[in-house]
Amino acid sequence: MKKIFFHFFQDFRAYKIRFLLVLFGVAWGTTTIILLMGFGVGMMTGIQEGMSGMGEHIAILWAGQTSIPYKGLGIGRYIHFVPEDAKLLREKIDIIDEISPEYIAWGKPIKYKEMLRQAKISGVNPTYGKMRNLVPEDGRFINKLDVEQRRRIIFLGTEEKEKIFGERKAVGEKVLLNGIPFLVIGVLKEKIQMSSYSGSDEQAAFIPYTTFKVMYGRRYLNNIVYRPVSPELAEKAQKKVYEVLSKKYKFDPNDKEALSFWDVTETEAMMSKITKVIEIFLALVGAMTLLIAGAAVANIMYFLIDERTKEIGIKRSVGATAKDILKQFFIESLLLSSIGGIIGIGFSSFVLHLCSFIPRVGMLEFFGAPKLSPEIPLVTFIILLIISFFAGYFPAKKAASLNPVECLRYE
Amino acid sequence: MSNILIEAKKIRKEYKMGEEKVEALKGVSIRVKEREFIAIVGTSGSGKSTLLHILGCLDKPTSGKYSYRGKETKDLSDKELSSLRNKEIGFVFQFFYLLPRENILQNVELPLLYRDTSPEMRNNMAREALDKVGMSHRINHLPSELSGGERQRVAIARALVGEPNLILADEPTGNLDTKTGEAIISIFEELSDAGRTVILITHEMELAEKAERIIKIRDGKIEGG
Repeated sequence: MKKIFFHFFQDFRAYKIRFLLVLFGVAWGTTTIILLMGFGVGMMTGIQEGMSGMGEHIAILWAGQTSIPYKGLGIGRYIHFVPEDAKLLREKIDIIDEISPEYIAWGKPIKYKEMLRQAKISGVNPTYGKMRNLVPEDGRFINKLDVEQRRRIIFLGTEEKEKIFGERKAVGEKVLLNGIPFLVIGVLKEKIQMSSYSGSDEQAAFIPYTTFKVMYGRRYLNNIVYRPVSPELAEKAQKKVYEVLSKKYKFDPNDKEALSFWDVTETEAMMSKITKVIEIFLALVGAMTLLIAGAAVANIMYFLIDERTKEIGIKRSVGATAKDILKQFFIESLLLSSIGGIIGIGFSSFVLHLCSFIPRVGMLEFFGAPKLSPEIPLVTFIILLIISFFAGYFPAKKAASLNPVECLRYE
Repeated sequence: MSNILIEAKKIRKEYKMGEEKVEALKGVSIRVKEREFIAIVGTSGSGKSTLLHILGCLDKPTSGKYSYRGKETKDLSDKELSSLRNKEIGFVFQFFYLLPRENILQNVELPLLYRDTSPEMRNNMAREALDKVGMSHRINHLPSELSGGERQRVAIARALVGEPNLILADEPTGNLDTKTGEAIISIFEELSDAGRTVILITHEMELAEKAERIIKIRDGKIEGG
């Protein structure tokens, strides 16, 4: 083994430029595949994070206008939801896991001392926080008692808290909403939200829907948010919602205009398909680069064997078996690609590490930080070894099968 | 009466040179006893090198029977043939065939690399072999730094290092001047005296006469044989 290392470095010295070019090729191939995969994974986790920012597997339900005459009732009738509809759906449809009514009011003043902000206020129930990924950084989200007792409490979006309180602690303070004091019970943890239906959660505040209803005197909800037991049941849940609500509001269950849905699972499925395709594409490009690097390794091995035909003959004449020759060239080629691969993995890890220092602002927020999960270099290295196995095996096999006498005669 | 080391019967060897078939050996039979010193003489192209390669188990005959110590080589695997070359046979070539990038000591150690020999043991054996041919003073030099005669001595040391029974020399003096050539031949004489079987190929009758027996080969056949 030591001998083979020694030979390898001797060859390296003798054919410096050739070896360096091959090493560069292998290293570059490895770097490309790892960087591509790293950025790809970063992008995908960015997208996933952004998607889950609004909530996972949830559906938003709006009331619409009828477009099909039904039981003597004409078209163009507006449907309106009331908070009881959420309860009704929850009771009638067992595949709905969580559901919350939602009132929304935009541009409502929030006052704190001399500070005045205009913000979006949502009136919701406790499960809303769970569904919409409203994780408190400080304090808590709205609970059952808050809703039952119509408490005057408020959960602030990240940005609103910062604009109103700055660095100071907000939980425990009182703000004025509509001139009425509200206790801040929680502040939203910063989050990446790629999609929304009524504005960013960071620029909003949340209060119990019961409180909202009384304070703003609103009868009708803006929408309902619900989550089925599992994403596979999303379509079935939609159908059930139609059944229940069409009965209550007397519209044709096939009237597409009467209700409208935004089913996030559909978007999720599409995005995951897109990211899969991107992932496969990146992997293919990377693998092709590695394949080319493998061809370079094979090429230099054939060259080396040509150069060393006489050496093969001499070694055979003093008792080297065909297997000894095969081993020698095979291990040399494996060494060549391993060293190249390690350089590539090292370099690309370094680059990805540097990338993690780029602040995620603007577009980069959605792009996601390039990530180096440990399986990427591992898989790359395994692919590289498989490719270099063939790149080394065939030339080595050729070297081993040469006739010793012809090797000795070779000029 | 000594034992028979080599027995070749009706050895034929064909080559393909492009489209043409060349018959290098046309039925050669030869018998060599242990401790014999034989010279095979013939002009270039007579097939003597081909014969030597077959005797040295580097090549296989197209037809005919070749036995080494009573064992037919046709049935031996690559591994067994390699082991035979490694332990029983030492080659000396006209063009020395030393590895250009390795020093003298490493060159001589080469056959021992293909055996289970410890590094110290290899080193000692190689030094001893170099000592026998009078080259122990230049072990760290590369072959290119030596004269032709010196290179051939190193090549002989390499052939000897594994303590083989049979030394096969293919025109060992062909690339040397007369005086150096004589010195090399005297090494072979000493080896023969020390109990080894030596087969020497040459086209110079003068050198061949130092051997105990001369076999003449012409056009792939043994003359008068």
